[in-house]
Amino acid sequence: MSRKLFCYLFLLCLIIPLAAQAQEQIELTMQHFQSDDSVGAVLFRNAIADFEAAHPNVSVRQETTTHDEYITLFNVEAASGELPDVFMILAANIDSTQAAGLLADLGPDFAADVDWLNAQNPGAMLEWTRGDSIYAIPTQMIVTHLIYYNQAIFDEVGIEEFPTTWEDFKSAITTLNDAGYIPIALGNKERWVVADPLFGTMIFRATGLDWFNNLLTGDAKFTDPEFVYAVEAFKELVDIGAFNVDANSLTNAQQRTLYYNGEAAMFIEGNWAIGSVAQEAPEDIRDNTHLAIWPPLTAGKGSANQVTGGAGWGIAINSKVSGAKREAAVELLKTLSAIDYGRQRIEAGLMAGQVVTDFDETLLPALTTELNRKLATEWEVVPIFTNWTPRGILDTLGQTMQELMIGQKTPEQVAQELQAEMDRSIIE
Amino acid sequence: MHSSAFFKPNFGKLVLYLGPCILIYGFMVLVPLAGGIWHSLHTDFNFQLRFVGLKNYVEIIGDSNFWFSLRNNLIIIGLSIIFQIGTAFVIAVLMNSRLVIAPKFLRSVIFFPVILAPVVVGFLWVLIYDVRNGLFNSFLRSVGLESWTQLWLDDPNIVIYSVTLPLIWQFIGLYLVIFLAGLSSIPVELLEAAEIDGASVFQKTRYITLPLLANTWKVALILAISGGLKIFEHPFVMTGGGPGLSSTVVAQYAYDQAFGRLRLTFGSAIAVIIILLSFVLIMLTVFLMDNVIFRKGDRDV
Repeated sequence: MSRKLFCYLFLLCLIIPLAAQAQEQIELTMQHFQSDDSVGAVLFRNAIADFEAAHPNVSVRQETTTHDEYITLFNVEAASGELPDVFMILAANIDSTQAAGLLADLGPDFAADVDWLNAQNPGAMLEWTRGDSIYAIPTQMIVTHLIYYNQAIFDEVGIEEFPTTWEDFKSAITTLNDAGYIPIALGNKERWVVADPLFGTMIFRATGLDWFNNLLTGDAKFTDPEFVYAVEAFKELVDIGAFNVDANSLTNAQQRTLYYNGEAAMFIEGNWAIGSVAQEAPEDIRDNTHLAIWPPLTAGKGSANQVTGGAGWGIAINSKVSGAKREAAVELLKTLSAIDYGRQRIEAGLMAGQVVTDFDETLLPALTTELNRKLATEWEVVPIFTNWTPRGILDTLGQTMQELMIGQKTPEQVAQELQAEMDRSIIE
Repeated sequence: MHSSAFFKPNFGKLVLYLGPCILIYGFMVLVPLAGGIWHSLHTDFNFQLRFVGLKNYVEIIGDSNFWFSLRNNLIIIGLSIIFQIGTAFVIAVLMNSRLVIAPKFLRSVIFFPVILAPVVVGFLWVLIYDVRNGLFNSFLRSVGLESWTQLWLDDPNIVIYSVTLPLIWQFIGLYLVIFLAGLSSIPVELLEAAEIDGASVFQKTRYITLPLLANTWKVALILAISGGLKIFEHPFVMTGGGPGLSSTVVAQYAYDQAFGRLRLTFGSAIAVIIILLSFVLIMLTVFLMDNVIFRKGDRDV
């Protein structure tokens, strides 16, 4: 008799919790590379945790790798059609991933929530928008070209203000060399450092925006004289000794070390290095660091206030996700692109993909304020070159620019190889 | 007299004992290999697979960058054979001839780098090669040989050799152990008889040790050749294949094409060609060993 009672009680214990589970338990798989202890990564993971707290029936299973590994991982998964529910995506991959039918169209979701759309920075939405379709939200806003220069070193060698013409810039390089400084610390082992932060904006100085737009439609080629002029300008810098001799065996972190040691007068990277300067540079270097961009090229067609930037990375939803799961995923994306999230990023010294007009400036590093001010008043953001060209162009540009630096290729050969890769990527 | 069941298991038992091993091998090696070969007969433009037959292979054979990276591999293999296997053989003979003190301790010390992960070895040697503060250049400066300092990992003419040195350093121990094992199988009486007849160390090595070690040498050469064609981690960690293509090996070239240019099927084709090259080189080596260097008769004592 007691045995029967026990069995019934046992069954009851099983059924009650099941009955109490009125809401459906949703699990979203999410893939990203915000896995380290940097400020941005911590904010990102906190935002996801806040989302889970606000939506108790949704759990987000995160799979993380490092930034460089993520690119490989994403390419393999996209090729086999096995992406998780929510994932970070590089702007350069939007078109090919969309062509394979792997992305959910968020256009209708944005159209239904106008506040959400208006909160986003237009410059950060360009890379994800194709007509009425929107395929991802911006995770950030980045400027990929900034010249961090040490005003104290410039004063010491007699350069009063940052050069405003190409000839002045080249003679400044020579002056710095003669005084025993490395003019520009460069760590190009990973190849994207020259391809994007250094050369990306230089392309626009030489060619202007029109040539770039024509390149994407096939009406202009890398072999056009405007682009070759850009490569020749970069070669000029290499030839007058603007960079340290071991530029191709150092990483971008190591180029900053040369600057922090006081051995180099400048280094070039994106706005992500502001945090490093604020935290890792010695006080006197940090206080003397200011921001500049390439001066105009003598015969260039671009304007001197253009700087490459955009969102770079976005977050997308897998097209196979539907129903309650898709709603949860859209809510997650809204959390990660809310004005509050944007404000948190700005107050931490990063840049946000959202339009945030009210934030606390007092805690920000001086360089961030300088950047935000210059962006608001002087500079114009133009597309990150390699995010809009086919994926193979980034790899080709990185390799050929390295070969240019060691004298194995001429500017014309660089242009020809790029055009060959462009033709292969479109025609094949 | 028929063989006892103890020494000749029936087919059922054979399947039972070898089955799991063959299944695992098949699943982990043969199936991906077959998949890779099938994959290499397609292109994957915009993530869409399209059958093209041998088009990838024709393109690879006409690609000068592929042959250049193969040249890098051949340099690595050549240097490995001379300095890895050669040095290991000399040390093994010396250790065996009791001219060396504390051979067991030396063996452990020389073998230690073999167990290090390639990434660790790569990073260690990047520090050694550092132009400003690295071991080599600092040492050269301190003894007044500043003009001998090099851009070890930046100079395209020497970077492939710079990248080979850590490889050689790491695996001498492996071949040392292989040769020591081979040497221990040579009957001591032979060497003693030769000593009585007045043979020098060099003569004993040339006429007794070497021929009897022919099989060990074959194994060592096969390991060196297949290892040299597979090498990836050391150059990747130290230079990423750069500057330009100067230290790119075929495995890295396959990786760059597959993941950098988003041509996964092209990368598969390069990988298949590496396998074929391995096979050809090894067969060539075995043929030369058996018929030219050590004729079959020499080894029958």
